[in-house]
Amino acid sequence: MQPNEPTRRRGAGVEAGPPGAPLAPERELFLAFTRDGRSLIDVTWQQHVLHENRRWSATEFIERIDLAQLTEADRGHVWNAGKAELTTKPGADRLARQFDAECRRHLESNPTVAKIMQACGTWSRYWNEEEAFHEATLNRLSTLLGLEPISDDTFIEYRKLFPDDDALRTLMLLAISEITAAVNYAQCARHASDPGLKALLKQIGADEIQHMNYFVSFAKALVDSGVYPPKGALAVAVFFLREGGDLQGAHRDRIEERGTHVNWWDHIEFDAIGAVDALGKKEALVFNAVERVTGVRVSSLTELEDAWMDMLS
Amino acid sequence: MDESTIRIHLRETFSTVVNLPPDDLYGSNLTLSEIMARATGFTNSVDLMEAFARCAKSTKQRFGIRLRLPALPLDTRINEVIELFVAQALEATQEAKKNAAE
Repeated sequence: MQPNEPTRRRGAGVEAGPPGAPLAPERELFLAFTRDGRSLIDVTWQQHVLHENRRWSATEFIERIDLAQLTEADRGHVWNAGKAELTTKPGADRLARQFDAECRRHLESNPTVAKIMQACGTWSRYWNEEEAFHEATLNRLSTLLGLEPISDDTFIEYRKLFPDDDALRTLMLLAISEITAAVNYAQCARHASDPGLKALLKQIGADEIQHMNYFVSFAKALVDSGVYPPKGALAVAVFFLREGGDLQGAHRDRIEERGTHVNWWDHIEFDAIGAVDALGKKEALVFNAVERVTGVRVSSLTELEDAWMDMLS
Repeated sequence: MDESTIRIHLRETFSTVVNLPPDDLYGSNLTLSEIMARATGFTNSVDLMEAFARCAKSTKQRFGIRLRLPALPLDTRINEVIELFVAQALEATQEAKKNAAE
């Protein structure tokens, strides 16, 4: 380990998945249950090893940041990201509850789908804990930098639970949310001059990519089961990419007023972080996610809409 | 295809897709959020977007016209949305005529 590198826990020294499998989210979860005979205990261990392997120290990362060197843009990135991360806990809490309910709903009719739902609900605890690091680290940095405090009212507002939706659509939405976050963090890291801040933002961005890979894995397993038609995944992709769609975040002419929950991408103050937006990269990653989940290859909104409409009755 | 034909087609198709009577939809000129609340099986605005996509698919099949599906505020009224699509269809028709003449 380099002297300046914050602590990460390395290798549990055991097989996380099937022999020879890389340390990564299960790419073929449906086949893991149906063809390979893997159990929920097996899949949970794979989740746990990956989680443990990727842990890092928030306090050590913060200690390595030279606060006096941060630019106004850096400070804007930290404040916006810390506030946005407040919404991930209700996202994960909802996932745990909804996917356990989905598991029980499918238990008799399709035990494999029930296992996929349970694997996702179980993984939500790791997602919740990893996102907690992002939220706590960035908001602590905001405090140390003397940035505008986030009020308790805002904190509680941002904790509102998300309403339920179809399971596949939920997973696809979360995958796209992680894509958006990952590209934003990568952009912020690119513009950060302080090495400590750059390292932290890159670490968080890497976590978000891993979360996206999990959501893609669970979504693909639902499609592979045949119970969830792929059109749901394509619908959510269109919803984000369409003219005036959610991928444009706070850039949209009008943000819908919601009493139910907070979508973090609606509230990023891009004036402070004008360099963050990278729509092309986000679109390319969404197309890639669509292909991994459904097998449908598209490279433009027009192709995506055509493929989706072909699936509609 | 004239303006009236496409308007009737869009109104009838959307009414069928969301399973709400035309008098309720267009007579009361419901907002998109009111339609979401009344349409059976609708969970959120992804369902609404899908309903408009079914109209767009039907329009493409019948008239060969491609309609765009922009995000619209949920307080937009349905007659305004229908007119937006009618305008798109007329524009596409004129464009096609212009291209054919060149």
